[in-house]
Amino acid sequence: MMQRLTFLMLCVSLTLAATSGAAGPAKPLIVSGHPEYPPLMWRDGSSLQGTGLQLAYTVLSELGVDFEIRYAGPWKRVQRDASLAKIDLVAGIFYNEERAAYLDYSLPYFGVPVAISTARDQAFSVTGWQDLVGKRGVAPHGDSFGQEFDQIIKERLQVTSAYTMELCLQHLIAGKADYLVSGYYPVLTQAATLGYEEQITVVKRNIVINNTFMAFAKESPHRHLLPQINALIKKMRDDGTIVRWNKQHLEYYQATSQQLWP
Amino acid sequence: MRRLSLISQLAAVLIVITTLVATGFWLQRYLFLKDELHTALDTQLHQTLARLQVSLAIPAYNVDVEIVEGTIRSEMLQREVHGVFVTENGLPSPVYGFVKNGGQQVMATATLPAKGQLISAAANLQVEEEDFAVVEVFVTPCYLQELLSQKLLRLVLEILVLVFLQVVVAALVLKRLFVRPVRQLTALSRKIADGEGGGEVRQAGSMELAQLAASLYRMRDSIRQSMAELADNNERLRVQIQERMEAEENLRASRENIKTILNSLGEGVISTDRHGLVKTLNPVAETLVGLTAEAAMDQPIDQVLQCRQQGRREPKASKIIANLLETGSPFSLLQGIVLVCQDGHECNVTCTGTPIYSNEQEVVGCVLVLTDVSEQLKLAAQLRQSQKMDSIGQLAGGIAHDFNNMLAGIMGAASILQLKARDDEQTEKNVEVIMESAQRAADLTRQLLSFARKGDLVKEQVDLHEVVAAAVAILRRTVDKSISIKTSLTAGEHTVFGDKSQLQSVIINLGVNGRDAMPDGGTLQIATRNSVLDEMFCANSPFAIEPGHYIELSVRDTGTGIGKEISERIFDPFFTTKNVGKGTGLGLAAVYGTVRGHGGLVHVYSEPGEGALFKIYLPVQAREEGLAEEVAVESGMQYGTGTILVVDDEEMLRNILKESLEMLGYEVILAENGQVALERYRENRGGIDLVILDMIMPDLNGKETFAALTALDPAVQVVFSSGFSREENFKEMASLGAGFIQKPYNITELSQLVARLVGQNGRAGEG
Repeated sequence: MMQRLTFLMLCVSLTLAATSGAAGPAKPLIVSGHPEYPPLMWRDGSSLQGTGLQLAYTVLSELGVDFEIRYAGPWKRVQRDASLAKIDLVAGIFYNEERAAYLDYSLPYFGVPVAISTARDQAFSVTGWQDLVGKRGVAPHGDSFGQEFDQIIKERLQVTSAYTMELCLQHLIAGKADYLVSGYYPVLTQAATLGYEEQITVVKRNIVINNTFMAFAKESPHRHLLPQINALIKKMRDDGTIVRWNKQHLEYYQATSQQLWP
Repeated sequence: MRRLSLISQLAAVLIVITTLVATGFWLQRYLFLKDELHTALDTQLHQTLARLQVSLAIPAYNVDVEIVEGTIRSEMLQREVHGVFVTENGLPSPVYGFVKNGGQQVMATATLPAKGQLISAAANLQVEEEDFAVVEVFVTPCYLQELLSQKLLRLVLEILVLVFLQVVVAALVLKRLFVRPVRQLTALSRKIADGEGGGEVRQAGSMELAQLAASLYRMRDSIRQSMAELADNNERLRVQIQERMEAEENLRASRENIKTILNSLGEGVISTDRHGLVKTLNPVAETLVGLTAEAAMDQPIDQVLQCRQQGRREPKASKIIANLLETGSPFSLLQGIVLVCQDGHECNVTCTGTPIYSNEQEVVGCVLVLTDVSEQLKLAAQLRQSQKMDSIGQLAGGIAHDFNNMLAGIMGAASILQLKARDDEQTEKNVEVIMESAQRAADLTRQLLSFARKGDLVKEQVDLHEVVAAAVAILRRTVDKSISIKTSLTAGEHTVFGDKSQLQSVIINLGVNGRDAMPDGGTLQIATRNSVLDEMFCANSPFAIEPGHYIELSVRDTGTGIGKEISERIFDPFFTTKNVGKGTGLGLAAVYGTVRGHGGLVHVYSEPGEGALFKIYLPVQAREEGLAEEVAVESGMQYGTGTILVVDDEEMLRNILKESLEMLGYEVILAENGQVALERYRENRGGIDLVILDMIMPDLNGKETFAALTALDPAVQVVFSSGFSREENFKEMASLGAGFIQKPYNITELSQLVARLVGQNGRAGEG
């Protein structure tokens, strides 16, 4: 089973690469996403892997669009490039009002929990965001946690950012931060991948659950595809395809992360 | 121009040299500093760029705007960093851009600054060995220039201090080594120059200065010797100069004195040199010759002094002066010398010439003294004329007196005959001829008396304008119509004290004289005006007149005029230019006598062909109202009664008068002299009503007889009779209550006077 899945993923990547290379003289639709958000999205060399990319690949292929899946740098940079229309389609992203200014969102296709993690020896009980008040938090640079929780962080909490998940984890371990705000799966997967799993504990698994969307850059010439994409998302969300893909990608990440991540 | 001291000059040279060296040093330092600061700025630029390249890569790649901006702003705290820009590959404009405005305020911008004076450098930003952006840093050199200026200013100050210290030190050293000895030598030479002898120089300085000091000592000794000799010579010169100055002062004072004397002289003084060139001309001489001293200076004397003998044309003085200069013979020209002024004016002068001798007794020039005697000659002529007129007057008066006495007899006898021959027509006609001839003779005699001022003047306040008007009325009837008579009576004060009829005769005489001078017609103008004759005028006048207010009566004709020789004799009695029988020659003589008798004077101004102008000046009399009494003139023969004592030394006159009075009804007692008259009056005391008393008698004259009669009877009534009458005597007689009757008697006038007087004392008119 694992071999089949691995194979499948490799095929997808190759296909993506081939599709990108088969682009005609017209400018292809550029697809990118978060490089550190497994199993939804993560960097795979100069490309990306994950549930969101699987969905984009499937949808765009079915629509017969010439496209290219591209690693475009850190997550914040991806968002900046989308605002500049250097990226046409973000494969997975939470909604907030700032992003809605330059992105047109698709239908949500997957629910993602946001977790609170601490150093294992500095763990404290968290039942809601009120337990975080007065403590030093850290979050990956550029990550949003939905409009509502972003507002709470901004107004009530003291959260700094670090450019990578590894730096966030190191902040926790080093005591520079009391807690980490991040996606539940990313922290688990990357702590395990980076060897910090014994030093980190998730104290609140889902302090908030956010929907994940696909989003077109408002300046993109391809945004007219959004209704067709929404139709396909709805179909695959409703028939459980996306949930299945996510489970497969989580397994795949756990199995291949040591190889994929230098 | 003030010279600088030696120390100042040396200091100036030192300052110039030091300043030049310092300026060179400053320039070298300037170039070095400029290069050094540019290098430092370049280093700063690249260090900043390197730091940004490291610190910006990750934040910029992660689009960490806050970190990127903070990093850039912290680098821009450097004053020299003007701007930092980050441009990502593939983007058209910088994603981060910051510049400073005019000051140090940092502001975001997407526009790269103009290069201008800015210096910039750029570097790539890399992540994972891949260039994703370029960072560019701009620095400004303006602060470099400011820093350079500050450093240079400090350098200048340091150089100035250094120069100042160098100059001070150099000046002190120069002063000690060079200036002080030079000053000592200067002081030594100044003392030598001042004649103080000097002293010793303590510090000679260099060898050259020591040699200079030795030379000065030698010079001092030489100067001392020369000064001593010079002092002796100066003293001698001073004495000589003093003597010369005193002599010059004396000479100047003498010249000034001579000049003052010359200027004060009433005579003109001219001096010449031996060549006859004028050298001196005093103010009087300037006036006489009509040249200023400056104009006459060095002119030949015969051009300056032009004299001739009166009545001749040839020059008079030049030959005599030439002779004087040649021979030294003095001369005196005292009479008849006429000096012709430069403007042609002539005057009578006397001229004396005296040689000027040099110490060697050589004639070196002459002195001419000129005296203006014109006025003197004029006065002398007038005096002569006045004296002549007085003499003639005396003569005429005497003749007239005798004539009157004779005429008195003739007219008295004729009057008796006339009364007696009323029925004999032929005899009556003959008597009338006698009477008319006698009357003309009497008129002639009266004119003679007028000239001699011995006529019967009846003086009273007279309005001269009325007299002129009356005379003009007569003249208009008398003269030819071809003669126009004009009057211009402008005198404000026109009252005189005089005899109205005689004054009228004066005007008529002058008018007739003018008429006779204008046979072809012309204009006779009679005018009056007031004049004031001052003391100087009166003193210089040949006539004895008093200063005061006068009325000037002028009579001008446009006739043939009068020559000078005639005008000098025109007032002489019996002098006439008219044909025989046309004039008596007494008209103007009478004018002369009448005017003089009124205390006035008369002048005639005339040239042949220019007409004649007679000017008469009469003293103005302030008008006194009420003094002039009109006396009722009785007319016709007046008869009366009474006793009259007739006193006359002329028997014929006594008898004629006796017969005339008896014919008028009076009794007559005769007396041939004053003594007899006193006896007769004493014998008939109280019976004599009137005494007719001759003025001129031997022994007791009329006045003395009158005094004696008055002593006998203070109420005695006396009438004086005379061939002539002096005004003062008549006045005196009148004041005593006596009357007067002029010989020859007019029987009618006699009858009227006697009747009036006899009637007054109450004894007359009874019969």
